[in-house]
Amino acid sequence: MEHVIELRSVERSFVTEPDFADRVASMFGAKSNARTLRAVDEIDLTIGPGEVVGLVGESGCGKSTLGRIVAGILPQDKGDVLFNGRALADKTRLKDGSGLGVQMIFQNPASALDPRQRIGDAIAEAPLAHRLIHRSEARKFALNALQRVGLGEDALNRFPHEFSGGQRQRICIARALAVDPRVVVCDEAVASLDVSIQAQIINLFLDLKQELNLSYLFISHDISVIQHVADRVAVMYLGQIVEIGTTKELIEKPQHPYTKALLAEVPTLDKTLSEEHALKGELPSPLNPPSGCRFHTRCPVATSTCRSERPALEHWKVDHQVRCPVVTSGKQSFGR
Amino acid sequence: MRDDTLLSIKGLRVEFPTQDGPLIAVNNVDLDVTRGEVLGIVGESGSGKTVLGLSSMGLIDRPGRVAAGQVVFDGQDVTNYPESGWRNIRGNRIAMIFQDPTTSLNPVQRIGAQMIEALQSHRDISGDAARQIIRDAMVRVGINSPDERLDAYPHQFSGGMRQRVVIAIALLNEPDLIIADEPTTALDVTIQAQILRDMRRLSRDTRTALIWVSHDLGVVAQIAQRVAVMYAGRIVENGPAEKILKSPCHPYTQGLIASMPGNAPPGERLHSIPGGLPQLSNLPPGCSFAPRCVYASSACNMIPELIQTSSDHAVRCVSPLDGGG
Repeated sequence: MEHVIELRSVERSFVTEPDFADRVASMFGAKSNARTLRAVDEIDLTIGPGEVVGLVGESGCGKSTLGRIVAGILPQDKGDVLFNGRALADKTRLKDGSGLGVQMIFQNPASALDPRQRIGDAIAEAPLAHRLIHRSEARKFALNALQRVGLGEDALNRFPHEFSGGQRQRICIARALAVDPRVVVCDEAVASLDVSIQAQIINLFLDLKQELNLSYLFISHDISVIQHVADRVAVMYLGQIVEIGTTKELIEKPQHPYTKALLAEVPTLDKTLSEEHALKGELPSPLNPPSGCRFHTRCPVATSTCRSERPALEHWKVDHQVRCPVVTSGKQSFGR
Repeated sequence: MRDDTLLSIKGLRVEFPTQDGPLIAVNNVDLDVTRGEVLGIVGESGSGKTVLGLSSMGLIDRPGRVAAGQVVFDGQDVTNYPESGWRNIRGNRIAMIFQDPTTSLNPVQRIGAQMIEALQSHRDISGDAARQIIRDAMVRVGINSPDERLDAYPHQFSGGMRQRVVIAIALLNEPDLIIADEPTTALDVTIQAQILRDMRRLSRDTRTALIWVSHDLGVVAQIAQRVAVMYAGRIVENGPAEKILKSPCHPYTQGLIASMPGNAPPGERLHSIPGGLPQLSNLPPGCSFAPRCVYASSACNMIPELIQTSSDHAVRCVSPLDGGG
């Protein structure tokens, strides 16, 4: 299968800004104590046409950073991000419009829209700027885009504050789709919505995927949402993908101890949480991640080698990779 | 009213004046909480669940007001209690836990000092004795080595730890009732599960009654014995948690449960309740849910009463579902 998005060993770090005391100290020749946070590390990921890849993990695991790298908002430090086989950062892409192929939808639709811009203008803004449409057809274009997400003509001349949260998210979706992307990165796109509205928006995402053969990178902390929409799921822990596989396989037969614990902690109607904590301890600071396997401090099956050696993401099955040597070395056979 | 009723709310109506007339955030709510009971209040935004929690503690600020009804706490009518009277109750006999632990704690005061303040404002107690109580409270919510933690500032704690500190503060004066308003919404699932376990154990061990306000049915299912579902300021269904979550009788509760992504086959369209939440200042004349209800008929043009379908289960619907689903 041809990949729409391909990430090869992508890495991105952030360096803490030196504060005043640090700057004074460095003037006198002190060693800089700027700290480096490796937000995402060793990321290999592909997204096929029409495929939905879900990304789950706790806050601070780097899932939003990864989403922004895929959307081309944030450059990576190392590795390649390819869209249809070409580097996303390739400047020539802006000329042929393929630079618009990846769009992003954010968690809070209220802050993603300009409060003083009418909805019709907000939707037509990007296509006009990129000369995809002519000004004379902007209104008709915006109306079509709104109808696609279930809103009507009366929305065109209104302002964002006149809409509810669910409607605003529909507007953001219409806006992202206005430049005809192939891939949409949804960063917690349904997290701020009420349950009954969330279901409507999830349905809209599924309908649009069918209609336009879109691919999604769907980022959410809510595993039940991911389970519902995603074809494949990647689980992140402290900047790394620790397990990736088809949704059914990963949810039903999780292999990595972290995935197992994470799934056990999801509260649902038909399950009572066990009395015992599935995970011990707290999430370590990403500024100072543990040596070796990053999960070893909280892992129930950690061995002494886990403390010193950094595990690689290895195949457990054809469509299922796990970053845990305890799991992958104990496997019976490679394959189905 | 049963003998062990701790909090009894009767016909409560809370209004906020707006340009378009009064906005009724809580509308004719009846609710009883018995000692040691965990009551879940479920609703979406604007359903009035937070205002209901606040009004149980006399925390409705002007221009909002309690327009009708009464709140009886432990046999005392506290509806129009003066502020001085509330000071003895709040933080002492009723404690509250809010969604965001960052804003509940003072950022420039050490955790220990904040906890001592909570104790000494209600009890005449020495610093040393207070410290001992604080240590015990912190251990109870799973904060190990409390002595090192007492001198820390809130920003030195993670989000989950901060919420535990807030819970520890709520427990300090051994309240009869804790009102927790979306206490785990801002937290990761793993931390949420830990807090849920802690609270479940604490309410069992200390017989503290707990009102757990949440939009998340899955969370409420883990902790509540009884559930009240709110929609547009009214309670639409009230009964045992097991019954409401497994076989709801109100079309809204049923729709809400069916909307949860875990309750449909992956990749297929989710059941969704059509339309949006009503504006509280402009409610439909009859049943507030009727415009979104698939079962609505002309009978829904009247506001339905809360009808007892069994001794412990009440539904506000003219034609409740049989709950067989």
